[in-house]
Amino acid sequence: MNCVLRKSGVFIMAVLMGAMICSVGAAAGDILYTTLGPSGAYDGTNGSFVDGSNYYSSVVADSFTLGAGATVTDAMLALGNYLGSNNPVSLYIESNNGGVPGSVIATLSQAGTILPWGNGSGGGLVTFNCSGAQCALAAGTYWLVAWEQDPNTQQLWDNAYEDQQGNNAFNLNGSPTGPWMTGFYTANAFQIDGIVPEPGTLLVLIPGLFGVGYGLRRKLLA
Amino acid sequence: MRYEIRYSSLLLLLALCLCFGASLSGQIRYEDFSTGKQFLQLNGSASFQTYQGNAVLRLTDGGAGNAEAATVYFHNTTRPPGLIDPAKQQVAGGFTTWFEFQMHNPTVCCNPGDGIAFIIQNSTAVDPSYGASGYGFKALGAGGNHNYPNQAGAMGYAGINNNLVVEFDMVQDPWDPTSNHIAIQTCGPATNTPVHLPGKYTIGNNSNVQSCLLRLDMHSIDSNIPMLGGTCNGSSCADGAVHQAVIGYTPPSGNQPGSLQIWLDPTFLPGTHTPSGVPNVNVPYNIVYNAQSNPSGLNLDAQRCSGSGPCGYAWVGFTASQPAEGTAQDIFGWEFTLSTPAQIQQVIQPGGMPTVFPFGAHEATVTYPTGFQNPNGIVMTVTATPVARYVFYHLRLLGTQFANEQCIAYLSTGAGQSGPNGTCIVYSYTCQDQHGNPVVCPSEPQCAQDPTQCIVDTTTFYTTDPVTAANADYLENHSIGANDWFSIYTSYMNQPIDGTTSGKGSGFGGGGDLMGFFNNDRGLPTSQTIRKLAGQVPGADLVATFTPGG
Repeated sequence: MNCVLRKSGVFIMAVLMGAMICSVGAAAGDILYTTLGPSGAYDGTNGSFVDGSNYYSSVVADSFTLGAGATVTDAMLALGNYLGSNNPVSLYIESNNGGVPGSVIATLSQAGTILPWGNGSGGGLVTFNCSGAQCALAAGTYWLVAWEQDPNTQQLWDNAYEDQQGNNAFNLNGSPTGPWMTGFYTANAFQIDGIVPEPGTLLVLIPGLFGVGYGLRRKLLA
Repeated sequence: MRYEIRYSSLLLLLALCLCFGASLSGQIRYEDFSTGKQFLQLNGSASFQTYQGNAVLRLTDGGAGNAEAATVYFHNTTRPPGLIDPAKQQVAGGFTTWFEFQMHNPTVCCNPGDGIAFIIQNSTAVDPSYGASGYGFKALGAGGNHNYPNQAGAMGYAGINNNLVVEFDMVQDPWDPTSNHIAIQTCGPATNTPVHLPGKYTIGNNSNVQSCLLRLDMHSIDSNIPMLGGTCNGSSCADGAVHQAVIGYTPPSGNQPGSLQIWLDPTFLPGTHTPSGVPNVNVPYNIVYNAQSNPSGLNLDAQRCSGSGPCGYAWVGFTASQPAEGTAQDIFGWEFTLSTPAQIQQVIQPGGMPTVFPFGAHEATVTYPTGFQNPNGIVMTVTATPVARYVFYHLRLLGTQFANEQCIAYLSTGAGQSGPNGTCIVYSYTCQDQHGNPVVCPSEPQCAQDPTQCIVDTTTFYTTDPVTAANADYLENHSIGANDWFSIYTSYMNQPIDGTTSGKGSGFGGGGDLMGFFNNDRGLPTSQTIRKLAGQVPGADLVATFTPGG
């Protein structure tokens, strides 16, 4: 009987956890970090080149900080195609290694095409999707690294809303892992979207995890 | 170096300011190359070296059997490259540049070379058939590309588009009329070449290289100049002499055409970098491209242009190359001064540390008193506006209590000469918060009671005006453009070369009435003066003046 109850308890906890995860997943679109303004505004009159080897081989990184652990679903960057071809930008979330980008944690994939930079628009907001376990980040500081691998493409990553300042890193070696030059300059325009588990959810989720673990342990020992 | 004593401190200040530099336009001054290295983009063989105790910019190393090419551009290498490069210079409004160089340690051989060039470029492409590579501030012309044949004599700029160079060439290549000449080379927005003579020549894999001598006009080239490089005699070679060059550009104005002037080793006005003699080359020129009327102009960057007057930005710097028979080619010092208003922004430094605003041949400095802190990161913006002395007198001094004074004419502020009446500089000060919003510049209200608690303003310049400590003055007003001048003069130095006037104020546009003019003029009691000090306005002008015959 006890065993049945225990099994029932484990099952109920698992169902609850699944429900929690599903409900949290449905809440995708939380802004984890942004340098954009209201309605996604940014400075489309200036920015940093992200370009291939026939231009500056410029790889650009901006830092961002998560106050709590979260799962990144996507990043939106204000980008415009400035010169040459228009191949996609490779975008990475990298660790913070003493104030510069460290190693690649997650690789995001560009959705859609980067619009021409001209006409005062600065191009537009481009979404880069993140999927899989790589997108679950603990609280802390990270870097968003933009790299153009096509030698003949020159993209421009627009400046942040009202030219707010931030920690920048860049290199002209076409290398997404440095070595880096750093400074505190005008940030680039981007937004990190994702999921932050709510405190109430965690209150149920964490005991549930312990419960599942305990139940499994008992089952294995039985 | 002539200015070692004076500039040892200046370079320290320059380094301090450059560490916090936000805007670069117009702030090129390298008395040597021991500091400010992060503001020079080195491509190819360029490097920083020490030669005979001097920190030099070495373009080629003189190694035998090693062809090299170099380009160097003034550019902030610590910022990611962006659409707007604040290091580009507003060349369309006119400029004066001075530099000192030497070719030395030549390969003991036949004709060690090639030479150096001063370059103004807004390049968007290179022609790889020359062996050129790069883009923008990374553009590197032919001369040292070991993967391409026929690199000798390419001078480091052959193959780069949309540029103008003044070359100092010491080898006679097939396209050169002599082995020792200066020349102005441009093909407008098209690819530039070092070819002066008619015909087709080969550089790299391109066998259709033709002349880019300015307007194909032999007035654009001069071979009657001092020997640029070293001289070889049998088994030994002597170093070349140390040379000084001045290049001035004056834009068209009204019916007057623009001009480009070059001096090599001129006689300078005493204690200045201003030539007093006839230029070696003096040709009409307009640097702004027009397909129909001015094809030898350049497509300049107009991103930051607004208002009236000639405007266009470009990178400035040097190029060089050496063939297998090389010679070391060094730049010892460099100044580049705009003839148009130039603006520099700096974060105000803590008390006791100068915040320096260098504008090439002149600069302004602000030092807050010890104890001052700038926790909010307030930025100070100084705009240096050249103004003809007679214009300043009639519009800004006449009718004021300072009508017996004249503004001090700053040399090297326009095309090598300052004009018949001289050009003064008015410095306009404003402050901004970290978001760029206007704020009142920090004041030091204790200045009225304690002179050590005043803000010290200084300006440094070249002049031939008869300024002395007894007749010098330094004026500030209560708001930009106003003529309610009051004196903040405290001292004048002329050691050893150029003048430094300084003043003390309790803020910008609101006080600093150390000489009592404010009260004397208005008959106000002290209490009202204090209220005025507290009620600052967002900005002020400062200008150095003197009393002629005083």
